[in-house]
Amino acid sequence: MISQLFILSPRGDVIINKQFRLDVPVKITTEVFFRTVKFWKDGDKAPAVFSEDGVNYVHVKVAGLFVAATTRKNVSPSLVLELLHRVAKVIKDYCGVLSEDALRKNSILAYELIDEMLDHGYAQTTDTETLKQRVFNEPIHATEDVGKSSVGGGVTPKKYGFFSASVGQFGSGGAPTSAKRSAVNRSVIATPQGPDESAGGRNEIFVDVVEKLNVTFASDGSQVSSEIDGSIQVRNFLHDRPTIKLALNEELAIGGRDLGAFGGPGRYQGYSAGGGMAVLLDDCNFHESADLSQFDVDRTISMTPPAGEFALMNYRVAGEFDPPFRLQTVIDDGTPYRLQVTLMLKAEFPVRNTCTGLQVKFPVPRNCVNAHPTLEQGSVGSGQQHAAYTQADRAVVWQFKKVKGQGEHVLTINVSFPDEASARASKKECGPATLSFTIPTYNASRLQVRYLQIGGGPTGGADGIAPGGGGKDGKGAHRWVRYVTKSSSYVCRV
Amino acid sequence: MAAARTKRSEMTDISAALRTFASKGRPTKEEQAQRRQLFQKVIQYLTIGIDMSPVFSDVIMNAHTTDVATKKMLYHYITHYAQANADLALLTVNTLQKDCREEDPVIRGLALRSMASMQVPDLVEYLIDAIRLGLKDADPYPRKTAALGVLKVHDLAPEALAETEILEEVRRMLISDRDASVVANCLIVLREIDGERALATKQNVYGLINRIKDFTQWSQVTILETVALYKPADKSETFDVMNALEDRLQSSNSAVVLGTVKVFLHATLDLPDVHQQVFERLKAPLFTLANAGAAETAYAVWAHLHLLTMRAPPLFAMDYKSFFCRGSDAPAVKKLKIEMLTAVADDVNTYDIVSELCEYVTDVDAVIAREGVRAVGRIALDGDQNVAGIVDRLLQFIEYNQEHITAETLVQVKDLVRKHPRWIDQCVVAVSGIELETIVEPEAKAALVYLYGEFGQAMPEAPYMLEPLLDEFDEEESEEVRLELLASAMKLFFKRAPEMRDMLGKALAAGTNDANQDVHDRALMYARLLHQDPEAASRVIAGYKESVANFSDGAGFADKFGEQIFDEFNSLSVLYRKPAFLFTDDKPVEVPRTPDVIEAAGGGGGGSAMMGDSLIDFGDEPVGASSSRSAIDDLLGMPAGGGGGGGGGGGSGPGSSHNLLDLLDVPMDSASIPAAPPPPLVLRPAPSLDAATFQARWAALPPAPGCVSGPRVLTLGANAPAVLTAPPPLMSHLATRGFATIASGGAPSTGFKYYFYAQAADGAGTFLVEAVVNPVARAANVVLKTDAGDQRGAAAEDILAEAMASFAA
Repeated sequence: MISQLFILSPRGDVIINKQFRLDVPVKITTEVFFRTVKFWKDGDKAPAVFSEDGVNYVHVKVAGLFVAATTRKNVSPSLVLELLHRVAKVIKDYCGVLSEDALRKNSILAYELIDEMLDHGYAQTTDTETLKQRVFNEPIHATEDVGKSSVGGGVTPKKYGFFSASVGQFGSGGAPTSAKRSAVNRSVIATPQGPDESAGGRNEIFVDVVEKLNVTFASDGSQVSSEIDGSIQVRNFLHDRPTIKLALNEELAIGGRDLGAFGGPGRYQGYSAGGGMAVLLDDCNFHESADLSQFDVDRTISMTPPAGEFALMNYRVAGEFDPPFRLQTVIDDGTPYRLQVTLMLKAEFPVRNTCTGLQVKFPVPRNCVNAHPTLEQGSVGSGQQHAAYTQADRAVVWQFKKVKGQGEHVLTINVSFPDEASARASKKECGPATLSFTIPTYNASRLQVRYLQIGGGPTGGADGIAPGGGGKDGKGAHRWVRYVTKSSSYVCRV
Repeated sequence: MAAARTKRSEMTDISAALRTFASKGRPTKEEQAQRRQLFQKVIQYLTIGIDMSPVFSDVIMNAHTTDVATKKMLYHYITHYAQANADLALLTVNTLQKDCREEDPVIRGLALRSMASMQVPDLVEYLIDAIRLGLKDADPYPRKTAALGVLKVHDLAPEALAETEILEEVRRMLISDRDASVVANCLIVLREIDGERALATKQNVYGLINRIKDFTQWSQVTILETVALYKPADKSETFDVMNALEDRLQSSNSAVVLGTVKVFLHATLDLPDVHQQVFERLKAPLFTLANAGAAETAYAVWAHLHLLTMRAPPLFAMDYKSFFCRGSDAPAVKKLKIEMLTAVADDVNTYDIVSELCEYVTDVDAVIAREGVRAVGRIALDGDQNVAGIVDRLLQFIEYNQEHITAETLVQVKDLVRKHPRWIDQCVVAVSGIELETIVEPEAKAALVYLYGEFGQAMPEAPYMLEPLLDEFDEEESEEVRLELLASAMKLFFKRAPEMRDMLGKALAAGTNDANQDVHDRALMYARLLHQDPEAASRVIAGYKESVANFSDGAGFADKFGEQIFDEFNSLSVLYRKPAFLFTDDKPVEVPRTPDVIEAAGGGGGGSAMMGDSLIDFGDEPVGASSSRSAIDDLLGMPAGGGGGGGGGGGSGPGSSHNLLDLLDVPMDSASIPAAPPPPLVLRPAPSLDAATFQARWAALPPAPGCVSGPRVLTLGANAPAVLTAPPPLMSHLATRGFATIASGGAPSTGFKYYFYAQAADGAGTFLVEAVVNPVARAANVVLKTDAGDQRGAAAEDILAEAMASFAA
């Protein structure tokens, strides 16, 4: 397996360097690694796995840090990559935040964790809960204020008011930043053994349904390809390791699961997207601790969630879906020396949702002299929209603070050229437009968490929604269920 | 100096402080915390590379501490410096031994792990005792630590370990221990010591599969590796194994899923229909992993998907949209996707795929843009589909007027016209608009020069385009271009002598003075050829050329080792596209086919027409170099006109390696080289031949020596009557030996009839087989025909005979 694990700062300083086997020169490998990554041929990004002088280097980049392993064996790259991510995640779970500063302050703790997670280069325990029994150093907070806000307990996450633990209770507007951040930056160790909230971590669990959209539109507006990569992300700070039960839409059809056993009749059968309301997933996978015995019956997942952050379920929808945005582009080459590009943007999602931080990037031809964007009437000076051409990128960037559902916006770009012929010839060099955005409380696949039940009690569903916050069950545990849709690759061709 | 003194004095302070703490029998809570901080400081210094070994003895004096956090740091320190301070390390033995009997299992495990990690030979004796104790511990934590300790002892002193009963104990624990983490470590240890294959027994595999869910995901990967080496006895056992592991495919850990996929693929190799079903089943989970999760893990999954797609492109033809690039993809992933798109293009999806690829051509990333052009070119080249539209698209790229796009397009066009002469007219028209001076890249420049030379009769301006380049022959930096210039000048000379005479003269003069040996030799040879016999020169240089049936490009390397890389699924081999023996110390499983220069040379006249080709091709050679190769081929076709550096015996055909070596100035006096045995026949793992060609050749070729007087009777393996109830099993078996099936039929009662074909790996020879198989009698009546001569024919017969005999043996 692996011979060495090391973590380097973005500048190549060695923060952690742990040797497991004597078959690699551990003192120079860190340097060889950093040099190779820094000066990868052709200015490309170095791949996650490469070989140098007979030593195989496998690395991941997390929060600017290089987490890397060396080996001389023909290992499974996936295994090492997953393991490195897991190591980074566990360190993060312990330190509350993973950064160069945090890691330097907690390097002893990190060593202790690595010693328990890997022995002789083989993965051992990486489960936070088991590690807690064997790890004795305590985390040192990287930055003062982060630590305080997370353990304060008195900080009521007011902005979470519109998120609920049950279905269909959408709020509107606002960005849930502070509560989220404190949850992210919290150490699993800060959770006290008792239910006493004021002493440390709140007894709570966050369930985020995050969907990343990959859509490519042809110039006629049809979808060339469309895919949703979804994930149910959990951040668990519940006390006393209760079991939880998470229920998804009952009308949920999943492609891969309906395939027969090998040697049997096999093939897809049954589920269809009929009725219009069914949610069809092409495939999904689950965290190792998920108990799926009831999943095929009533779409519920039971588990004793590990402390900290993990993906409970990943899923993929490959079919067409209603895209949240459409962008239509018209290019007028009627005037010599000039192309007039009109971008018409339509937000197709419901009025009650608001998209934050939309950005439309529209590349213009290389040989143009200038590109001048003009915002629609009424929006100039309102501070809501902004558009500018940057020479270096050869692109016009059109930004919005907020876009309301069903909103429509127009941008006109005048692109000027040095000579008459090149304007027309360069027409096909315009675009494609790339959109990046985040839409809270909206998910494109319509996958829903019907209820989230904590402990064995019959709580869940619509009951137990505490005022001013998420659901709270009898034992005082807070539940936050939240939906968000983001762009991953959202391309509108011209 | 000042800094050094500070450092030294700090070391003295640390040393003093450590001693103070060591002398305190029962430290207060406060003192414990202070000591902890002191140790933290020591470890931090150690991490950033400051040599902390001077305080080794002071550290050891604190070994009796009861604070676990401090103890851990202390052991961390000791293991770090133990090797360099073996004598001092011995001083810790007492403490370590004591800790191995400590009440707290965490301490017992810690002491054991630290002791084993020190790698100090003098400690082995103590270590073996501690491991004995640890393996019997009631708590699983010391037990699993002890198990891995066994491996550490093995690395340190294998003989000492072999003298004990410990390995037997570990083997016993693998089967009987109740704790999964202990079993997992036993498995790890035995895989390294006994060998991975030795562990893949039925008992082990069943035991591990049955409780696989008890193991961590990491251990599951090790188990799956072991299962993948196990060969189920029959179909139903294969299904049992697969059904037991089926739910592993829904893991969110890509290593677990790929490990499972490997088991499924390897278990079904002999069951073609199930194998295909496996492909269908594994797509969805792999696509999910490739799209979810971190970029690094996704890349590894894409690399594996790439391998599978290249192995069976038609099975992924429906999924082509999954291979469309995303803006968020890393360049490496985009490259893989574009290659996959090229591979899966078929009658149905080609239009969509080419349209998509054309979008990439305008990508801001020039590398991706070129990949797009190359992919369109490859599809046009390989496609039997409606290529017309694709060629149009390819030629349109020239109009984009972007240097890198035009350059890449030219390279593709050159290959296209060499394979499909019907596109020459269209391509020549499109290319003749390009101004040569706008092309900078050598490969593209050489391609354009080649086109001028080859199709100069259709391009009125060709001589004048070449003129400036020929005039400044000396200033051309790339020898690839210079070689091509010479060849093109020659070709054009035979087409348009009046215009070319002066230019050619100047070029040959410049070429013979060239510092580059290849350019020099070629110019000299052209000059001599013209001098000796212009008629012959004309036949050689401007003669009719067969269109190229198949280019062996860079992918050929992966092809060569394709099976081996597939065998090493879920390993680095897949990412590097190389079998493990090329980048690790592991010995190759099979002796690879190497481009044996010596063999080729020794073979003399027996050397094959393609041998020179494969010689050049070995390694990651850029595609475009084939142009210069073609020129070499052209040259070599000449009847050698004795004398000078070129003087060798007559080669057998165009491109003979014999002649190539002559050209490379290898002394080649045929008399001085003893006749070496001919190279052994190796068959290409995945031959390709279409039915029409098969029929035509079958009619034309003579039978091989063994079947001249009627079919040769070969014997099948003992279980053939049971196994061979339908044609496929024999087909898949023969495929592993290099014989592909072009047609099959029949029923068990009447016997089966097959038509197989195979191709020599070096390209020299196609073998066609008609086989009438009677499974009950275990007899196969075969007729083998070949164009490779008797010797190879007989060799192919031997391979076939072995293949038949080993079927169902």
